[in-house]
This record gives sequence, structure tokens and C-alpha cells, in this order.
Amino acid sequence: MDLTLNRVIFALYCISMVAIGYWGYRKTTSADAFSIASKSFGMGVSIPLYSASFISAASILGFSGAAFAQGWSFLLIYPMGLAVGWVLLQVTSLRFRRMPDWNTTPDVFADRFYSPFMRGWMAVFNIGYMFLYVVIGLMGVGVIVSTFLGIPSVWAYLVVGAVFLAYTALGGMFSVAWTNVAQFILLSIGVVGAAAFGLVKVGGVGEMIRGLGEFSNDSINAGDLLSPTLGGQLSPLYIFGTALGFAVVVPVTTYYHRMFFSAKDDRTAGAFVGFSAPPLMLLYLSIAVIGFTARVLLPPDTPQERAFPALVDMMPTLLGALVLAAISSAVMSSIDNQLLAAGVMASRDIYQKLMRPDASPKQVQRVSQWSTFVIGLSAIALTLAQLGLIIDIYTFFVVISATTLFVPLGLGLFWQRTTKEAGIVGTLLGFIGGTLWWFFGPASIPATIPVIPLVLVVMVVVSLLTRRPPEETIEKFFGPAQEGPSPGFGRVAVEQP
Amino acid sequence: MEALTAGGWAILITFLGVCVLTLILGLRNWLRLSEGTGSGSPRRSGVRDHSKM
Repeated sequence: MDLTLNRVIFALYCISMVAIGYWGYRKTTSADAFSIASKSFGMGVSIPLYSASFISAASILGFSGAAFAQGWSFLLIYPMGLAVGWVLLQVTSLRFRRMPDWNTTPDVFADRFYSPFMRGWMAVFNIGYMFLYVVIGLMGVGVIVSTFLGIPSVWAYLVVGAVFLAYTALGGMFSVAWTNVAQFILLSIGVVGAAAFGLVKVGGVGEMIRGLGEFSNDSINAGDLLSPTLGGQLSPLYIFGTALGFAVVVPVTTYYHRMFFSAKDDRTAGAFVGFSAPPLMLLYLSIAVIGFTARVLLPPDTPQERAFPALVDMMPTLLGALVLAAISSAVMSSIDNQLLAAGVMASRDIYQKLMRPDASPKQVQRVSQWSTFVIGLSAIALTLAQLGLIIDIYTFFVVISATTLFVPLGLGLFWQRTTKEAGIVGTLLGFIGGTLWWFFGPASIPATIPVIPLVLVVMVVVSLLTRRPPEETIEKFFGPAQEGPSPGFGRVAVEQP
Repeated sequence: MEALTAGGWAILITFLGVCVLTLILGLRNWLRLSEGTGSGSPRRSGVRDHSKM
């Protein structure tokens, strides 16, 4: 590995990100500009923004390792679960565009369940969730950058943290989106380049599949890596439950909702998730190919976590540097969205809506920037503390977000009769039920399998036993279009000629 | 490719199918919301054109 080349590439990368951040800072003249870029994004920004935020370090390093270890069954668990999540997110897209003043996920919860409590509860939950996401992302990127640049991990955390914090806290959504555009290009080149390298080394797709089919070691028999269940080692219930977990997390993730709010019109908001499916499909198949070819190329006793780094070691210097820069891009393009989501919810939902309704727009903008900065700084501090417990808490939160948010959001957006009481009971039951299952339930059955149906039944019963939602709420979420048709997904207001 | 089992093919084709379904749903929205506009004048949806507010 050529450390000098790596350092030059990384320095250029950081300078570019900060420059884009400064440009975003100059464009940020209001609270709306900071939080949702004044609803200005067309398809050219929305697709790379969404796609780059989707591909994180976990996607590249964790998933290629899973493909390496589980073979073809990896496709059934991870990419398939996420792809079903894309469908769910796409179906809900226009539901998030019904009110022009929505900026955050708690805005939608507060209006749909006509309850300030739901705003506060959803804001606190999502801020905690996003904060943990940022810490985990920083931990991952610190390790990569430390190896990549040959510097101590503490310096790696500080450099990465300073860069992403600077452009996110200063320029808000403008900076996040445009850095994501650059990061998407870089990560696509790196991931597809690494997959192409693996395929060339192996001798093509046919040889890769043949090699997977013939592979065996102490725990894997020949043929297992092409089996949907890893030769019976993975139970159908485990595969279904894990894939379901991925699928239901996607439509409840708050920083994807922010992209609906940031789109310049309904047409963009209603289509960018769908239009992002082909590039994301290509990227996930490339990640699978990286894991598969590493399995064929590397010694049979190579541990899973060494699969990707060992493949990078085999690459020509420039490609290896590009791939590692791509991983840094993947991480930063996820954690910047997560940090901004947390900062905006703290300022809008907690400060403006619950504490200081009379705050001026300028005050809200300043609080947004400061809350983003403080949350980011806290995340860096926690990352430096190197608490192993954080990874467990984060994994817990991923599961809990699915059980807490999926059914209340889905029923709230698609069933008129869903009431405030059902929303409150549903989110609390999902949170408590998911927590209890996490600590006391069998590990072989993901919490999503028992808790999601339970929340669904309880919410339907509570809704039917309580007073109908106010007409104003029903009108807001399900009313007929005031102008033009409203087929399918949501109210579509049509500009009159 | 002949080494790939029927189950392996089914997984791959289903994954590609779900991706295409997402694309079709997005395309459907795009076309529905583009009705009645010329190629050079994409219609923005009335009250939701906030970029001009």
C-alpha cells in the first residue's frame, strides 16, 4: 500500500468536501434552507443523495463479508430485504408530501396523531437512533482511515469527524446533498471497480459460480454456498425474519423522509426512490460479487472480516486507494444525513414546536446549526471513548425502530380510522415489546416476527374502540384533491392552466 | 452459470424483479404527475412548488 498516494487522495477528498460545505453555507440563508434546502432538489440531486445515503460502511464491509461467509443465501437475506424496503418506501413517498410545511418525521406523526406528545416522543426516539448511527459510522470509518493513511485511530476519528461535522453543521441540507452527489460517484467507481477486479481475477461470472459451488472447509460443504439456506445451516424462519427486519426499517428511516420534504415537486418526490433502484441494484450485486470472488480467491480459512481488506491488498495501488476512498465516501454520505436529521429534529421539534413556538426563523436556523454541531461533537467524543457497548445499543435500536415505527406509520398513513390513542399505544407497545423480546426472547427469532403482528392487532382494536380522528386530520391525510385528480398514493394538487 | 441451482436462479430473478417493481412504481408516479406537460416544461405540482416560494 502506497501511503503517500493514499494521503494525497484523502487530502483532496477532504478539501473537496469542505469546499462544497462552504458553498452550502453561503446558500443557507434560512431555517428551511438548512433543514430541507428550501425544497429545491430535482431528480439529479435526489437520486445520488438517496443512493449514497443508502450505501454505508456496513453495506460495503459488512455485506461483502456476509456474502463471503453465506454465499448465495446472502442475496436472499440482505439485498432482498432491502429491495422490499425500497418498494415500501416508494409506495409511501407521496404521503409525505401532503402538507407543504412538513420538515421532519415527527411533523407527520404530530399531525397524523394530533398529539404534541407524539411529536416529542418521536423526536427523542429518532434523535437517539440517529445519534447512535453517527457514532457507529464514525467508529467504522476511523478504523478504515487509520489503516488507509497509516495514522493512529484517534487522529483518524478527529480528521473524519472534523470534516463531516464542518460541512454538515455549516451548510445543512445543501452541503449534505452535494457532498453526497460527489460521494455517490466515488463510491460507485470504487465498489463496481472492486467487483470487476474480483471477476477478472477469478476468470468471469461462470468461474465465480463454479468456484462457490466447489468450495468447502471445516464448516461448509461443497454446494452449500450456492444453496438458498447455506446447505440447511440457516433456517427459513431466520432468513425470513432477518430480511423482514431490513425491509421494514427502510420506510421508517427519518433521513429518507427528509429527502421527500426536500424535493422541489411531487413528481421528483414520487419517483426518485424508484429511479434509484437500478443503481442500488447494481451496487448491491457488486458488493455480493466482491464477497463471492474473495471467497474463491482467498485461502479457505480466511476469517469473514478479513475478506474485503485481503481483496484490497491484491489490487493495484491506485485501485486500492480508490476503493478505500469509496468506503470513506460511503460512510460520510450516511452519517452526514443522520447527523443533520438529528440536528433538525432537535431544533424544529423540540426547540421550536415544543419550547419556543414564537422563535424567529433566524433563531431556529441558528439553533439548527448549533444543535447539529453539538450532537456531532458529542458523537465524536463518544467515538473516542471506544465503548464496545455502543455497538450492542445500536443493534438494539435498529430492531426497536422497526417494531416501534413501522406499524404506527403504515396504519397512520394508509388507514383513516387510526386514532391518536392507537398511535401512542402502538409506538409504546412496539418499543417495550421489542425491548422485552431483545432481552428475554429466543435469539433465533427476530423481534420483528412476533412484535409487528402484535402491534398491528392492538392498534386496530384500540382504533375501533376509541373516537374517530378529527375531520381535519382525515381531510389532511386522506381528503380528496382540491385541485385535479388524486388516484393512488396521495393528494396530487394540479397546477391550473 | 450452469452450476447455479434452480433455487439460486429463483433468488436472483426475484431480487431483480423487486428492483424492477420499485422502478415501475416510481415511473408510474413520474408519468402520472407529468401528464399534460411539454418536454421542456415539467409541471410542478401547484402548491407544492416550494422552490419558488
